Amino acid sequence: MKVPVVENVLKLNDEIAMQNRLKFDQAGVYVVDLIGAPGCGKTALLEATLEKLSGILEIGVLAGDPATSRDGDRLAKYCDNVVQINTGNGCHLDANQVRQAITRLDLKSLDVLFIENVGNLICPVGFDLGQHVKIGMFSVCQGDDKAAKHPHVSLVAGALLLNKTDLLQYIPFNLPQFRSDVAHLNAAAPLLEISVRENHIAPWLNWLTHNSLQKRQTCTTSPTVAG
Amino acid sequence: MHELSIAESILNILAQQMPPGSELVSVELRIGALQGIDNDSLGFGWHALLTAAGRPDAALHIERVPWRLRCDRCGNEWEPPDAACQITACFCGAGAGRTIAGRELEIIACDVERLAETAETPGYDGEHPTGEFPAGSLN
Repeated sequence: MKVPVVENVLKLNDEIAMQNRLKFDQAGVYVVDLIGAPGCGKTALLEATLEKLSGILEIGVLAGDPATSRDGDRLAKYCDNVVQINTGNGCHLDANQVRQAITRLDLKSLDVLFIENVGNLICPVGFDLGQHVKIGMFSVCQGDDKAAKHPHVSLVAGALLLNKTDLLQYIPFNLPQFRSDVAHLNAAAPLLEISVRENHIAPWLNWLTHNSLQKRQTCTTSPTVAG
Repeated sequence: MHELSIAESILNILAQQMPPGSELVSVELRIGALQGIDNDSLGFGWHALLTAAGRPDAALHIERVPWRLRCDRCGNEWEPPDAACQITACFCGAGAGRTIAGRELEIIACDVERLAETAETPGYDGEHPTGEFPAGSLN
């Protein structure tokens, strides 16, 4: 007997994500899902961001990793609003994990909430967490072909980061080719070229402060509008 | 291996959709190229979950939907064979096309057989090493 179903496989995840987004909007917090391969510098970027924006924006972080609280411990040196999520064998965060984690935060006290996803360029892309924007992060060490070879994150990202640009002088990396690849995949997403190690993250900080302010203004006027 | 989560979600949805007293025979899925889902990995996770739940095996029939773009300026539609090549831009010079297909991840239908003596469908219990989705417990 054939039974028609016609249902989105991730319906439950998406429903929880919508609830998360509603909570974020009601609290007026701008939520950023940071996606990148292991070692591209996600945690280092968040450390630098927390340090630079201390006293300017109130920031919280959900740090996702398969194991250990090392990222959470690193970030907790810069802010009190850090929750570590261990996914076990999971290669991505899902909306339910985020829903549980945010119960440990006072969302109304935050301006920005980062969700540092599990290091992975593919799996986290398809899971809506309730974020307002997904950010795709690459690094020079990974090679100039990664945006093209792993196109999924670039296609959905609101902005893209290229980290470790201080290594461009040492590592063969065709920057014009990389820029061209990301522009073809997602012309609307700005490519922010940074070096956390050299403390060159101004393009990122400017983008973040501008967009978080814009989102908070939107939330003030229309608190239930999904981003 | 997000395919395991996908397989778990499929089982959870079907547990709510299948008629009482029936057993799953096969499922029809539609999966877009942009979902980053590997058929073999999904099949592996699917069969592993059924085995772990002590349920009979059920076939997965997967229709792959290619990535398809449309140019909003000239109306041209095309299917890039590979996102790595630079044909996400239209030949008319308008730049990148808009994705109109390739993001699908849907259950289309399932095939079930009614069990003669069984009063209840053996449900999937939601056990998963990476956590649990509280099906039907949305607040």
